Amino acid sequence: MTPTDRRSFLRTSLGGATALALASELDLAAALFRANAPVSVALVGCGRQGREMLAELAKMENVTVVAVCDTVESRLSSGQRRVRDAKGYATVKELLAGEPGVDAILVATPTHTHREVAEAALAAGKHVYCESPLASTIDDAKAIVRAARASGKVFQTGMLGRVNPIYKLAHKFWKTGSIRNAVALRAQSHDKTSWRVGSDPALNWRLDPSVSLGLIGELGTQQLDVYHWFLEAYPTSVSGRGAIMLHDDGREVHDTVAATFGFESGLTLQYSASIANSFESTYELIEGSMGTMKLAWSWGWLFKEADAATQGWEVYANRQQFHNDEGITLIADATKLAAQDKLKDGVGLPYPPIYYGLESFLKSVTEGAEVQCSAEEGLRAAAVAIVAKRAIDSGDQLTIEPGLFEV
Amino acid sequence: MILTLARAAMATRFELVLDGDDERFLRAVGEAALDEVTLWEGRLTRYRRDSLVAHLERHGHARAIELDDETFELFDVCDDVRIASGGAFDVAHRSGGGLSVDRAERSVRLERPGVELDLGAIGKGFAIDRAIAVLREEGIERALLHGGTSTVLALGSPPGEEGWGVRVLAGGGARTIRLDGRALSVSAQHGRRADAAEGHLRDPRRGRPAADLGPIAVRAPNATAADAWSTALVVDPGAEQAARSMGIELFALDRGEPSESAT
Repeated sequence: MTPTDRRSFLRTSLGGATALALASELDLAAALFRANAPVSVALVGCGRQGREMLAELAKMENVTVVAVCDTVESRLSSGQRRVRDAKGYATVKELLAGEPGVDAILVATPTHTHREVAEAALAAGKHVYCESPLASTIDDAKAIVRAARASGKVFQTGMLGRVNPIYKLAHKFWKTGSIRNAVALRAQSHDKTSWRVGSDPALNWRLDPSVSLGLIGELGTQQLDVYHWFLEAYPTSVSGRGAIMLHDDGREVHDTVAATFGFESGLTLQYSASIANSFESTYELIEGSMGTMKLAWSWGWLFKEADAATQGWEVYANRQQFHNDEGITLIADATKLAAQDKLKDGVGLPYPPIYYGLESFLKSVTEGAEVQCSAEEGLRAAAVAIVAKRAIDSGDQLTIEPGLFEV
Repeated sequence: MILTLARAAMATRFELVLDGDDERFLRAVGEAALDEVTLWEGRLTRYRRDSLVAHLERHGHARAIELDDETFELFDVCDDVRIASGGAFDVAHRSGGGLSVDRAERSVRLERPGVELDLGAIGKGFAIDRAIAVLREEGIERALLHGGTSTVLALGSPPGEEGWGVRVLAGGGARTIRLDGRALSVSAQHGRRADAAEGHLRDPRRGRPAADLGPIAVRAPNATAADAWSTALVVDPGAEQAARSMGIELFALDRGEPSESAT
């Protein structure tokens, strides 16, 4: 075979069995979502996450944001600036009274207020998308699960690993044993920032020890859920430590935490979160006996052990060097891009992860598609984070009782 | 007290200087301002598939894309400067033009598939303006924000001074230009690489590097305009009249024009 023949052969074989994972639904990752019927939504909570949701909703067809809601006036007006013709409401009660026809409510308020907003929206017969973590107490999380079950409406928890096309691709590799057995798990979220927001105490709920789940809850829940999904298991024990390493400004909420989670299988997950350092940002690692997956939300890589079998498509794959390790880039749309010799153009997600969260939710609302991340999954992830927070605060090793997950 | 914060974004370093009494508050609002820079980097970059620009490139030829007010404002300015500069500035320059802006619908459209958008000559300025807007909303009266030292906007004045003096090094000398609520942007055909055989700015109408007329500085009412015009005027110095009519001041840095004040 000449090199060209070889490339064409490999390209053709991408559609074959060896490249099953690459030829996944990811070809659709860059296609724009168009609801099959007009759907109207309202956003409650116009902070940074809420505004990001508005930016992604604006890209979708047949989806209208009819109203935005925030108790803080400056937040409300900044939400309204980002969506044309949306009405503004100060409370969820006024929103639901003023917009009886709205199909779905997106909840992006502070974590400890999710229950109140979600219960009101579900009681009014609305589908609900609720940001992660689901709640800041187990009671609240269970109440949301009960309300979601009783309503019969679509309820999706905004944990974005399960909806992310790169993570779904990695999940397929994982399920087909491409890195064989996991031997160690490691994840982190590092981003140097004070976590303070202006001067309004209401906006600084993350730094309020009476309601905040701290770094392990606000940053960790999303990441821990990736492991829950991949391993189909929840950790059974957790220990940890936390400290104020940089932001010694009178706060009580730790700016740096580390936690160790134990799984029944014997696996251990080491988790580190810091707002005092930015090195290597946010990622989850699954280290297996035949390779390692590194997932970093809009990017993903597969690192193979030297003794792992080589698949045909790998010769053709896009690679990136990380010091002494070479990662195969996990690429959405790989089949199509490979056919056009444009594999490199496919590095990174076509839309931010939140886009896929909203898209899957709206597919459930308009097409009856299966919910990708349920209220129950939201409860279990929140419960793990809540116990981890207690372990970090107390310095004790704690058991994560399965009873916490039962409603 | 003076507090300095920095953020890596848009392939450079943004630096923010704040003046006030409450450090916790200054840090919080300063971070919120720099978060705007990060946010707009994510939307405007050509180097990520998940940016708004990538979305427009993928879908903007099939249908008009409605934009929120802030984003539309940016594209509106792009169109204004393109028209006023006779095409010397064009965010679609890589593909010989092809972006239409609809003011009535507040939407943009690409005239054909394959139009590439490059907001590299205006994005930094726009991000600085959005960041400064956050500071203004929070009641900050004195601040200076620069992106990679090529575009800078100053709010208010340091105590006892009339505006912020920004020292510009060019042609072997230095000069100081005063800013008080206005922005300054510097540009040169060769950027920092004075020895490069070919400059980095292309004349979109000719598809080749622009004539080299030496380094310039542009002072404007806001950073978006300063950034865009500093490119437009290096590409086509003939657009100076149009620029001046839009409130833009041009300083040709190697013509030995005097400083506004001694350094």
